[in-house]
Amino acid sequence: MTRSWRGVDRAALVVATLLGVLVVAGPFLAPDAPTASVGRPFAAPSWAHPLGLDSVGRDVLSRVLAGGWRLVLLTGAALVVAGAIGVTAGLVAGLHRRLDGWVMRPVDVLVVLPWFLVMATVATVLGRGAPAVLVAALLAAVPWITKVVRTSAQDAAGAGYVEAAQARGEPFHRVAFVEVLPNLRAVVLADLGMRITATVAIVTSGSFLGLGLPPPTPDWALMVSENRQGLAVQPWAVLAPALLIMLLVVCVNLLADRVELARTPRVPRTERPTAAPDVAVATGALSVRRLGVAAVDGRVLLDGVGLDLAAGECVAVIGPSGAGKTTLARALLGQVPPGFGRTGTVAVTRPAGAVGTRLLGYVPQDPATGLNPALRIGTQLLEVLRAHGVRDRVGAAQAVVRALTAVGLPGDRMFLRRYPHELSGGQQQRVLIASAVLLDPAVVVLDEPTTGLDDRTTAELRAVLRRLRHAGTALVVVTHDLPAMTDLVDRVLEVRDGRARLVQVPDAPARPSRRRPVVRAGRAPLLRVTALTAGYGTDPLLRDVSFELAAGECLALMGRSGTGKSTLARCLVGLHPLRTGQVVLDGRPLAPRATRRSVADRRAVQFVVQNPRRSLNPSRTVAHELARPLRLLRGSDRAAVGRESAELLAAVGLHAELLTRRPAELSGGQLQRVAIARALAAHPQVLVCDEITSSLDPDVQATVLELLDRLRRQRDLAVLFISHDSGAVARVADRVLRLSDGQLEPEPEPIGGPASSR
Amino acid sequence: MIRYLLRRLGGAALVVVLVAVVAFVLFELLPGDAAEDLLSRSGAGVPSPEQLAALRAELGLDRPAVERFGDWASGLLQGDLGTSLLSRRPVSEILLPRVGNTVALAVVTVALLMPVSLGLGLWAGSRPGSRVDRAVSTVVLAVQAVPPFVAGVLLIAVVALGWGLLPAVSLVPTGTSVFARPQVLVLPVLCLMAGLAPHPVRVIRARMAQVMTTEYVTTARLNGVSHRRVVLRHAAPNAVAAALQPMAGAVVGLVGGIAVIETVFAYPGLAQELLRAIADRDHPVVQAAVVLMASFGVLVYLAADLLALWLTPGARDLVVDGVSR
Repeated sequence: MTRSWRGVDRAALVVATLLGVLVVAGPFLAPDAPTASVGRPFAAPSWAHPLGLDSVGRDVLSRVLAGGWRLVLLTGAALVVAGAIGVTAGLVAGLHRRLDGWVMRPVDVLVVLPWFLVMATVATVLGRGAPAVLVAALLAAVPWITKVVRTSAQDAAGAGYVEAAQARGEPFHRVAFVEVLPNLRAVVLADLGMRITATVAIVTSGSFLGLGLPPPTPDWALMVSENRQGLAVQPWAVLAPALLIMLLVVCVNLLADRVELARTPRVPRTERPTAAPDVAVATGALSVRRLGVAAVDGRVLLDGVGLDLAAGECVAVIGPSGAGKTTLARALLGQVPPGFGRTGTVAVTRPAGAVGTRLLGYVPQDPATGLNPALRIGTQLLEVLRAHGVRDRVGAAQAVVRALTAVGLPGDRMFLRRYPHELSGGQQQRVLIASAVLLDPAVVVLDEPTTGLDDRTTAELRAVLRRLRHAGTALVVVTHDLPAMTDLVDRVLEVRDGRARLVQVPDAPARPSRRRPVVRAGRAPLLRVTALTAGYGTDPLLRDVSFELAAGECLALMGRSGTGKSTLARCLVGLHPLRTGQVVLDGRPLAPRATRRSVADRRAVQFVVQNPRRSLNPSRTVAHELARPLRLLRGSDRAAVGRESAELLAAVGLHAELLTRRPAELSGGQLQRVAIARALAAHPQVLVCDEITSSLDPDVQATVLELLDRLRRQRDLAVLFISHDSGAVARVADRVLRLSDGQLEPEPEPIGGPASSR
Repeated sequence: MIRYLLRRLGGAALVVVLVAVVAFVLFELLPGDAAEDLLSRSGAGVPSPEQLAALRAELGLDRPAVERFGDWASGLLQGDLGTSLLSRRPVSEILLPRVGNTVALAVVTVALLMPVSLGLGLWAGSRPGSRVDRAVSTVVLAVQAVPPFVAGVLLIAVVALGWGLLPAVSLVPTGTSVFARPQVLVLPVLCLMAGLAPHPVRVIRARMAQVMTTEYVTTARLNGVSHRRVVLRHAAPNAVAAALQPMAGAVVGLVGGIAVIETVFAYPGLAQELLRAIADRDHPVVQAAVVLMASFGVLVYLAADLLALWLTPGARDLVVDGVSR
């Protein structure tokens, strides 16, 4: 934000305050009675009447002073009532799937109707007056507030903290108003400016059209309308109220808008990398010298990075998240975050005899967001060619087919005419690689290419990259999963705190050692799932799933994404309805819905979800997060809650001073441990962990896995560990179940060898 | 696709029917009926029960409400909008002569509104935080805040009375076309644009700014596509679809906006007749107008939804498959 912009805001604040004083104190300051005629109609301004007289000879100044509060009051009342109705309706619609349709159908009808229609109807029925205007303004505002709130509430409904609240059996009003509502503040505020404007416009227009307050009430909008015919003779009778309305709304709007404007991101600028003279390094494809990224104020993201890469070589860039890996990758291509500048040199040399002119290609991290949803595959590839000056249509078409074939995709017309959403994740990734290798660039930069891919797709990706290397392309691969890449990589560059150094390439894929199962043979199962079928819509996602879990046992559940792992977890904790089948705990069947389960049953099965950021309520403290299950499920009193919360944090290796913190002040690893502590607060028998390590850094991952292992030994917890990470599974699990296409694959040998039974 | 279209059209028709029923019921609940109204307005003092009964029989008011609604609805379908309580003339006869002027005003406004708001929004959003963006955003925000009738009065005071450039009132003599004196349209159209364009401009700008930070735009840039090309070919198509809903909102907003603007400029359109009918509680006229306004709103939003669907391949497949399956 520039200084002048802040100046505008401050001026708006001052004017708004002055207007507020005028509106409130005005009626007491008016020199004449606002409805008394004191002279000739449309008399010009004089000492006695500084703004002149109006159409029937009343003092304009007095009427202006007396006429503001009705407008402000009407608008305020309409907004408050509309806000209360809209927020409640939006929360109900967003969080309660069955009531959604009942709320939204009338809303959809109201949205398409012009406000004037509503006002015409109401004014005909009620007659002119404040109620007609109020009802019209309400009916115009409520549907929009409902829609905005519903969208955010739906988004929050999938968050871990809402699911946790539902699973521990919080009543609906608590989930809606205590858990979700505080997090909607930003959304409601952002919409507020627009709502104020629209409501003032409707209230004043109604008055102006003669449907609002009846004359001779002093009212700014009515004054404009009454004195219009005298505009040429005595303009102040019209201009004074008109300007006041304008000032009031503009100021309020500018102030309300600050919230929204401050949140818009800025778009970074891109400089093109310079082509180095061929003599720079005879065989080198990429030569980086003292590359740095720093802001004017001295903040440094990257400092003094040097790297040489020959044609066909591959360097892996590793390091903890936030260390500057992606910054390095993008800085190589000339892009820096807004407000930052790049120092040092990046020189790219094309091998002798190369045909094209392209220096660098880039493959973004997430294939789903990396492709433009509005452009066909063929168009996206042709755009890259066009950007590099290829105008020959036949040549371009051939180059596209060549690039697609190189990554193992069909190059036929049918495929080229597809849109990104019609491809699988693996195909999308390969299209992105194809567009990065078009025109044979000397260097291709890939940002986390294996994230979110299952084992099979990762293997396919490795094959593609190997072919590229053989063709002489140098690769820079940013990755957090080095083991998956080891056989491809020539060198490893480790980035830590903005500095980079070359490190040893690990020899073989470092797989953690297998551990011995702790389960003793012959123990009766604690949790038994029989013939469970569940899903969304008409297609069952899970079909006929049966398994057993013993106390103290850790059972891993693996499978590709989208096979129903999370749905199964949600079925166990009572957040997703079963179509058929049964979940039996300790010999008693569990009710399918958490709200129908007894307190003992709700306590027994607890849940930890994937994303630690969404697992805890952003607007609540850790203490609140731990206190709710203690009170609701264990009936602890106040003193006990304080003591037990501190003990719970100690059990997950955290200090009690974190109790007063909110999620924004905690790291990902800390958040996940708090989430585990919240689950432990209930004293569960079964802990369901849904991908709890997949968004954590490797070293943090290790501590969380250790914690899980220790807890289940100490507390004899049964753990269902859902993951797609075979490394993590090998470290904690006694047995592994695989889910594919909604069905469990037949169980193979237990990991620990034949000695252990289930 | 056809089934989806039929379903949407059915939904639209249902909304109009619903509005018609609600309006009919509401007006039915009003104290007094047309017969009482007519007799008391004729100024002959308190009417006798015999007079009332006779008039009720003559107007068909003694029949049950459902039957009368059926009559009114079937008349509506055949183009008969009903009869004014006050003047006893057919509603269509009252409204028709003025439709032309209102439609002219609306068409000119919409024809300018779409390109202007689209252009401004895309321009400002393509470089969020830049000087152009801040200028456009601030001006649009300020203009949005001003109620249209205030803008109209101020424009008349400055442009028409102060500088003497354009007519202060937009009179159109009966029997002539507005386009014979196009200058009378300038200020009304300007006011309508000022009231309606800001919201779509802001939505398009916000959407465009968001699209400019997406992974696919970054990837296109990093793979060498120029800024101009990124904006026009890669980002804009994704922003335009999101713009259709607010644009439809602006077009529907014309209904109220035109009522205000016609009053400000004394423009001989539908608004004056309608406002008179509302003030006099002449329900047959209001009822007919309400149904027409509802149909207009429903159809505009339906058209916008279909256009947005056509522009977003992902959503299109989802909707069409979801229905045909």
